[in-house]
Amino acid sequence: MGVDHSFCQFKVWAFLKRNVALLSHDEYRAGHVGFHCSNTRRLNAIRGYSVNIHDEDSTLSARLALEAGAQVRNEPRHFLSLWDGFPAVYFDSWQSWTQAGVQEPTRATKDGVVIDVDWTLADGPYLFDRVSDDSPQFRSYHIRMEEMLAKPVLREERRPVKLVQFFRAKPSLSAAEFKERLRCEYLVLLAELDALNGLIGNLRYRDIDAAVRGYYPEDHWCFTEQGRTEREAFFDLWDGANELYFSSLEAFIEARRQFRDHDRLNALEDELFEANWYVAVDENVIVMPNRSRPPEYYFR
Amino acid sequence: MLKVASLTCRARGMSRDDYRAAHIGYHSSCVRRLKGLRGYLVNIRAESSTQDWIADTIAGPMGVERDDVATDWDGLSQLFFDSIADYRAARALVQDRPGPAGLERDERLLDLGGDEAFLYSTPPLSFAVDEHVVLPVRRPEHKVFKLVQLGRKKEGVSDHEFRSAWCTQYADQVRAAPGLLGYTVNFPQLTDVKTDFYPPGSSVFSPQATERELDFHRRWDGYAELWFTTPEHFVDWRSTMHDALRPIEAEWFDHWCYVEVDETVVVLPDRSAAAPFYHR
Repeated sequence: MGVDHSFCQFKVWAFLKRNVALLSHDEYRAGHVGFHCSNTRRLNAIRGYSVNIHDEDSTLSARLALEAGAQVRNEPRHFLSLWDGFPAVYFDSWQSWTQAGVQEPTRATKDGVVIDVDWTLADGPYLFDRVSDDSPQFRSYHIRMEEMLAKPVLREERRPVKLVQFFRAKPSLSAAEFKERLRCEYLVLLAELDALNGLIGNLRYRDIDAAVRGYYPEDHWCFTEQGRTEREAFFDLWDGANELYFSSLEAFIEARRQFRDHDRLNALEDELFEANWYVAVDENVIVMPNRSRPPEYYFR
Repeated sequence: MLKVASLTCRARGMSRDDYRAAHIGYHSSCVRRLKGLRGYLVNIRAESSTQDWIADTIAGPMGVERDDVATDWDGLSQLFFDSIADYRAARALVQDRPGPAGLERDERLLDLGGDEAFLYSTPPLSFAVDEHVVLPVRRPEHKVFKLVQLGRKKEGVSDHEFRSAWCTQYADQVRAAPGLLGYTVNFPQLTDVKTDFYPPGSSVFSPQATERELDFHRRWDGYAELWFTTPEHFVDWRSTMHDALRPIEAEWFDHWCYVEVDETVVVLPDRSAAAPFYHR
């Protein structure tokens, strides 16, 4: 009676800053999760989609260090000012990701079910960080993520506390050694925290074009010298991030504080991370991820 | 929390797959932007071998034939709001569309996309429900096996007795089922969910729509939602428990039926206090 989790292997995060000239952080939430996602949830063959918007709390890491005994080190200054939210999307392959904009008939009309003529992504430059006033392009920090499912997520019918634990690997560790120890030691131990509703480890692809090649046109900002420089600078801040789901922040604090192997967890963080810190995000589930074989019909 | 159920029938001549795409695609994309919406599920009736197994093996004399159910509805939508007042105010336009002047109101939402006349063959049959959460659902990241079990109480049984029996004696046999992810029982209530939500002149106010509602409520007194990890979990459980469930069903139900549905979580219901910002 097992469930095959071998699908949904093309995962992309896209860090996005709002158009600050037009929108506050809360207005950005409404625009992104409201109108924008009403279009993007219909991307062709999308298999899962959440929009994660940070809570503007730059003191969280310090609080967790104090109250939970969680280790925090070298958090980049003003990290939350670099982005407002990051969508996470799942597709079955690079091919399906790059074809996501091919529209399907989803609108009932007098002529039957047809392609929606009002479907649009034209709100992008008003919603996101526009490259310039005369450009329809916006800065987007798309990155392909390699996922390590440490504890499958179970979502309750209540807004969860979702913590994103960003980290940067110790330079003394090879990429292979870091990945092996992250997967086989750290995440295995972290998954034993009490009251944990899900844990997903993520390493970003070293190739920062893995998610944008074939997705954006060749003249897009992200392939310009400036775009590449800005993207490299952002991605140099972190190598990956773990997604932790709890019912409340207090549940995480208690679980971490009371963890039977607290010292071992801290020791591993000492050994693995040059930097690690926490961000709380409000997760909006736009399309519930479906990691099993896709049905042979339209399904979201 | 207010929960409003709507049964819908696809437009005449529309294939089941076209209906899925149009309901889950464009239509849900409009509805999910209702002001103050706290949850939105769309359940499309499925056709599967499990449904055949139910009809052939366990339906028996009290189980309604599948074809009778099939004529009734193709989709069951469920909207969640904090209150009836929020529900009645939900059609007010919110500023959620980015434009050159910042957030704008989207006039296209005034008629919720304007596709209902082409999507449905009859007006949606909507009613509020008293919801009893027996086992809070926790959804995994894979397609789950979901059943809707409709039930009609036996003649001579009061509403109170029927509801109590379903939520305790019957539910007690269900809640421990292996692979069960959630179990909720819903009973229609009398709250008016048409006025102030649907515009005056809407076909939901027609005599035909009213007659259809009365017919539905004459045949059904409640429905349960059961989420299982896989169909095999349900089949194994029901096979094992069949002899224990039968006497309870015979005592309280006149008839019942299981309908397998494909659930789309358009907006994950949020039963905690509303966030002080836009959340879906």
